[in-house]
Amino acid sequence: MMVSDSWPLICFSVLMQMSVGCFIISEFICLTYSRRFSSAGLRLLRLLSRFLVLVLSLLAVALSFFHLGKPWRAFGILNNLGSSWLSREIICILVFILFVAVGTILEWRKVRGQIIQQVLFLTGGLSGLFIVISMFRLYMLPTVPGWNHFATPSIFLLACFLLGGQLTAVSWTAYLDKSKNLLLQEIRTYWNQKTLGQVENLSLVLTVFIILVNALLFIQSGSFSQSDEAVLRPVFQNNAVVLVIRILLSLWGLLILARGWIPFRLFPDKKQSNHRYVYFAFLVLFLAEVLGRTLFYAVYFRLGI
Amino acid sequence: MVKQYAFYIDSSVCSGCKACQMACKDKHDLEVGRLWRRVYEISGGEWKKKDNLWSPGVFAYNLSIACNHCEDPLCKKSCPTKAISKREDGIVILNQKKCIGCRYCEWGCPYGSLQYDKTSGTMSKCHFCFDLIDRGELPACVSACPMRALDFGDLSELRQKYLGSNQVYPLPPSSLTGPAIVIKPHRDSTRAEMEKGRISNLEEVR
Repeated sequence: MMVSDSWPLICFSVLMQMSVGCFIISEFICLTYSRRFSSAGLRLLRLLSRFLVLVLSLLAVALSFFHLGKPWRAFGILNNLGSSWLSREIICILVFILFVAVGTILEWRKVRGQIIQQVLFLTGGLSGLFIVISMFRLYMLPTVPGWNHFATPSIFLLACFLLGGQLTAVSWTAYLDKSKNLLLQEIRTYWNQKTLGQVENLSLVLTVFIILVNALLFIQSGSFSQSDEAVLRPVFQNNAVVLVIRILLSLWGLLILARGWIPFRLFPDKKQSNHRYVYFAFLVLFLAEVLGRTLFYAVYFRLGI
Repeated sequence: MVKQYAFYIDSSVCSGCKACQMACKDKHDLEVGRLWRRVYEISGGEWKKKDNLWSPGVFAYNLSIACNHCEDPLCKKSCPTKAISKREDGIVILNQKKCIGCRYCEWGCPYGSLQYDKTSGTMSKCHFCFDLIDRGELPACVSACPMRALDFGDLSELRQKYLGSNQVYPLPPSSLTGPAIVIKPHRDSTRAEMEKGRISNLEEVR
């Protein structure tokens, strides 16, 4: 599989997983905030997140059409829910987008209530999780050893919550910093003093696990000894440099989150309460995940002839 | 009534002439790069020197493989549009009018049988020349073989007639998809497996 042909799938999988993660994390934060802050202020943040998730999901689906030879026949893709994980993935995406769209409309029209929000969080969140599960299940083909191992579900789930958390952090920080709406004053303070740090800490932990999984992959690629795995060795080793760069980028993201370490004098560090490190962390970690996903498609190797 | 159509390949007499490959391409008008039947050349070994004498220790044999119309086809399970189906006689066919060209089936098939047709934007594969066998004729590849190395018929009958195996080096484990194929292995196939013989014409078949 040529990596250059895989760009629609790289975009689709990264954007879709980021949307799901952003939905789950932002809705969870809103649910916890609803006990503390007014619904009028939360409404703006909910609309922001749901709108972002909707746009990214639709963009992901649109980009995936570039992978199809006959995109106008795409409606037939739901015909094999019984055995095809690809069919299941698409139905979960449609359900997810539907719930997010309905939730956005309800919030826009100020139709709210704790039960509605909880139901939306559960149904949207579950359908989103099933998207990620379907994604890694469809790649775990018994004939593709480069994909059929522990790293695939691990990295997909970790990337989902890492990128989702980072997108939430960036969008909410940017919006709260720029907005002069008085309804958001209390939320802004609480976000800056507490929740942003919690989201960044979550991202930090997830990044550590991503680095560990990739490091394990790197170590394992040097120890193949069986006949089929011996063929895999050059596949992984040919991409070792990219894997190392990917791990280094993740490490850099980790340092930014932990210490606000940005090697440019133009950007003040975290201690000065400047949020530029939030944007930089997102950029670096997003690039790391895109590189990681590119690597994922580069190690495609099919058993047999 | 045939329950499972299968191909028989006598690898011990296959000369690698590729008449089967050409007959298939000719019948189905396949462009350069698309091969529904592929003839693999497996070779290995080396010349051995003893004192001042060199003695040959090389080996080579051919394996003609198309779609194996597996008993448990991974492509059929994976296809999201149900474009791939299995007839009652076991032939696995692909309906190009339903195919969306997602290439998911291609990722999984261990025999490389699914091939992307750039012109139509859909997948394509060997369909056992079902149009010919439904008329009582032979598949194009079987009738073209000058060595009579190819045959076809009901899988159980072929197994009784020829004995043979459905897994010969370098084919993948038959437990993956249950290929409906009977192969009489070349005498060097066991040696090829032990010495890790390689497919020496990869550029031709991929």
